[in-house]
Amino acid sequence: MSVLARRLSSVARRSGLISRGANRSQDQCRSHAGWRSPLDDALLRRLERLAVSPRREAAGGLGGEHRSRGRAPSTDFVDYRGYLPGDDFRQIDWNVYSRLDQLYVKQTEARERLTLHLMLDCSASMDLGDPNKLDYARQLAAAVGYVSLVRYDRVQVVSSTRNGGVGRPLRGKHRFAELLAALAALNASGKAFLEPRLADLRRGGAAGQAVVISDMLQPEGYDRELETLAAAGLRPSVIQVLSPQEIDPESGGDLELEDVETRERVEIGLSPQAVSVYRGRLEEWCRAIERYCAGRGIPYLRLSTSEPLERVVLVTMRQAGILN
Amino acid sequence: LSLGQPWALALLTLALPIVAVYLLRGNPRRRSTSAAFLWRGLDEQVTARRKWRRPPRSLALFLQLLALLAGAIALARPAAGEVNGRQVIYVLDASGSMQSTDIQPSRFEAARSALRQELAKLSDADRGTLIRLGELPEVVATEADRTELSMALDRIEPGAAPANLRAALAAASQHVERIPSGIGQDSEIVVFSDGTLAEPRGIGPLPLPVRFVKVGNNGANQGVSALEVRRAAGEAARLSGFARLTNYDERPARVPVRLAADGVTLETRSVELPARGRAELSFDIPPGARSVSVALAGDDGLALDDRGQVTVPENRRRSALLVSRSPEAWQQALSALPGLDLVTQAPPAYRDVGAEVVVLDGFVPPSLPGGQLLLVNPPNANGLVDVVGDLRDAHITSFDSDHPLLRSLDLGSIRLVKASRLAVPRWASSVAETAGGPLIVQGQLDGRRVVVLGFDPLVSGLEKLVTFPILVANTVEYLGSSGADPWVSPRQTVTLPIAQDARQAVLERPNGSRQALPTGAGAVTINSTDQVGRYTLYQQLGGGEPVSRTFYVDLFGETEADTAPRERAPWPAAGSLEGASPRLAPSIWMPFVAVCLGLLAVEWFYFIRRG
Repeated sequence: MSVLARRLSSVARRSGLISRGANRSQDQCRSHAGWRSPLDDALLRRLERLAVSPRREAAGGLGGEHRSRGRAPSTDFVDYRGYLPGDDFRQIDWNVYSRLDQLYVKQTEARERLTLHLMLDCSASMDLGDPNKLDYARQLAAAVGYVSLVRYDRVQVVSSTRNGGVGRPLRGKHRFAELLAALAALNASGKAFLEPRLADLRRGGAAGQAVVISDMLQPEGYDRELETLAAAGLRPSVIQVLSPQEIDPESGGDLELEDVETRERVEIGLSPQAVSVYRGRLEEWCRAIERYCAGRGIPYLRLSTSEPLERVVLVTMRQAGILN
Repeated sequence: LSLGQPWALALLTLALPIVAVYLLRGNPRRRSTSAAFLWRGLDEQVTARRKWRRPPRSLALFLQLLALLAGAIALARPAAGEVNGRQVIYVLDASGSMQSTDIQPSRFEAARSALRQELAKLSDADRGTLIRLGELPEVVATEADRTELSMALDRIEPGAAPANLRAALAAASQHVERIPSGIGQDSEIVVFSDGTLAEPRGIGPLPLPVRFVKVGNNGANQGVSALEVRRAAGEAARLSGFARLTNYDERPARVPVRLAADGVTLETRSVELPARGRAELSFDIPPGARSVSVALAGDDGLALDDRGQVTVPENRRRSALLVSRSPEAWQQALSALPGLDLVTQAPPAYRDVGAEVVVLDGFVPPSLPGGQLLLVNPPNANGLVDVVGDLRDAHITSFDSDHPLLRSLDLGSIRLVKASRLAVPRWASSVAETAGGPLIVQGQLDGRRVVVLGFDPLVSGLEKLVTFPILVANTVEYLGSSGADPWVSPRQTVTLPIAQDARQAVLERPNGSRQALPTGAGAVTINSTDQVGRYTLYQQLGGGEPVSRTFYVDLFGETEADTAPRERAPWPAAGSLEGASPRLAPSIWMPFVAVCLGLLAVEWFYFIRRG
């Protein structure tokens, strides 16, 4: 009779017998301080073998560990080409000349640094779900950032809210603690506004790789923001993070759903039919994003916060081409 | 399936508010979402904020309704088995008064008809038990349906013996207790009677309520309530007859009376009987007569008591032995009896002289004499009856005034200074009792009659009262006429001797029916004396010559002949009967409780899982 009791109390509330605020929903799962626990030493050691996949040459300057389309003196032999006037005589391979009696110049590959922008959606909607979406986004960002730090890339945390900001660029493995601190300092609130942060990035003149971690559940504008990123010279990858409750809500009972960002309220009876329709809508929404990304060559990955971080980082993200 | 508390099913109406709770829109739980736009317009009916909504296909609602159903059934105390119907114990009075004809054709037939109408009301599930109420209860149908009961009802015939309601109710109670499958609601005991029943004293609370169906209109009846033949003292050849006529009607009556000996009319008189009064007749009986009869020629309600017939005692001398330390009073009483040759001995000088009647006063020899025995004030360890204690200042609280031993005696005023507390042996029965136990017991042991007086008449001064010689006369007559009582009461057991060489013995009843009896045992016991009139035992001896012996069953006494119907028989305390709660059939409510709790547990689990 527990369901009946709950239903009775609900009817009583509706009729004014019980205070309306007496049963305020407690089912929201806030982020918690233990989000770092999956990032243990064993996982970090395994992450050191990975690298962020640069989809173009790195733009963080020479001296990095990422291959570059540009040629520059280095020890990394790439190819031979015929000598052209003006070439540096030091690059002529005299051994080849002795055998072929023709002048060839050795070409070596330049090594570039990568600038990685970890763009976390810190809107209010990210602070929902069990496991919490913002915590999961922090873990993903920390893992990807650690991979980049190990490679001496520049790593920058970007919070995508109106009051967010662009973090200080970090480089080197020893700056991982600062990266974690920057991630821990993020708070979820308000709507997602990426454009103001892009202006900050442009002022810094930094281009490079961007990993956007978001639930992508704003009713409109995600395409404009991604185009803005590309226009700013960034090469985005999209990781869409959803909670299990969002992916597969259970039916039963009447709910008044309140959008944590828009404050829009929707009263709904969670019948199995309604849940089925919702699932279809969500799937269509996610497929639309996926199609958009595929059309523009943007790696796209959809994750549930219930998926183990280690598997996601070591397997799924490599399969998606975000890491290699 | 029967329901012990069917009103509990009213709880099923709780299903209405439960369903209503689901139909009423409750206040929705508030929950945050990250994408309200995905939920818009999914359930127009819900978002329309109507007060009612369509019935949900809810597992919780289904479980709750099932739990309610199981709980209601459990509270209704369901019972399994065939005994879901009523159990009705029908008790049909078949005593002599039921043959009264104030209702045509008779009260018994009217009762039979009323009972048949009751049977028609039985349902297929109901079961009934039919008990014939006579001197002994006779269960003629047990847990039968109405067809079997009707057939058994047709077989019952009325008798002349008085009804023993106490025994019938006790039999009904025992029968109810033995019904293995239990008693359904509205079970009862229904007694069809005219109410002329002795009060059933000492019966405990009955398991079922008792309903009384009275039959009979009035008690307009006159009858012969006593008839006796006595020899005049000192004139053994002269016989006198004494008859008592009783009018049980509220109006005086004049009845013609025919006095006869051996079927030959001696005299016809017209006797005036006052309202509810008596008249005594005395008349001379010619020498040599073997039987005497008194018959009323009036047209009253009951024919059974309109005629009395007794056997004239044989005029022969009998021998008696008195063994006593103080024989004077006994000698005086015994010597006054006509035709008795008395021998008196002191206990130390005891010797069996082969007397027909032996009186042992405070003494029992190691070897009992062969005659009929009167044992007075028996010593301890006498070998016949156990003396279990003493009684002081004892009053006789009840006695059988119809028994030949106590005829014409009023023992109610007797006070005994000292008496022995007797234990009634198996072969005997008590005919007079005090509050402390039996005082006079009698029975048949090893083919002879034995009477035990549990007191010494001389100690209590009884020998100075007229009661004493009458008691002695009755006792000697009872002992000396073993097997030759002048008359017996209906249903009284009669033991008659059978010749050793008898090849065939047949009993002819008053209605002309005949019954073959076993031979070779030296005696035959006749229990089927339920009809009033003449019984004749015919024996075919080895030599071929026939021998016959006759005894008469008479409805003397005024208990059964007072046929005025009573509105209600003197039952035990009405409260104990009406307060008795029927025993219900074994209930199977536990499984339903288990199912109810199981469903609630599943519903709770569902609630926990769903959140």
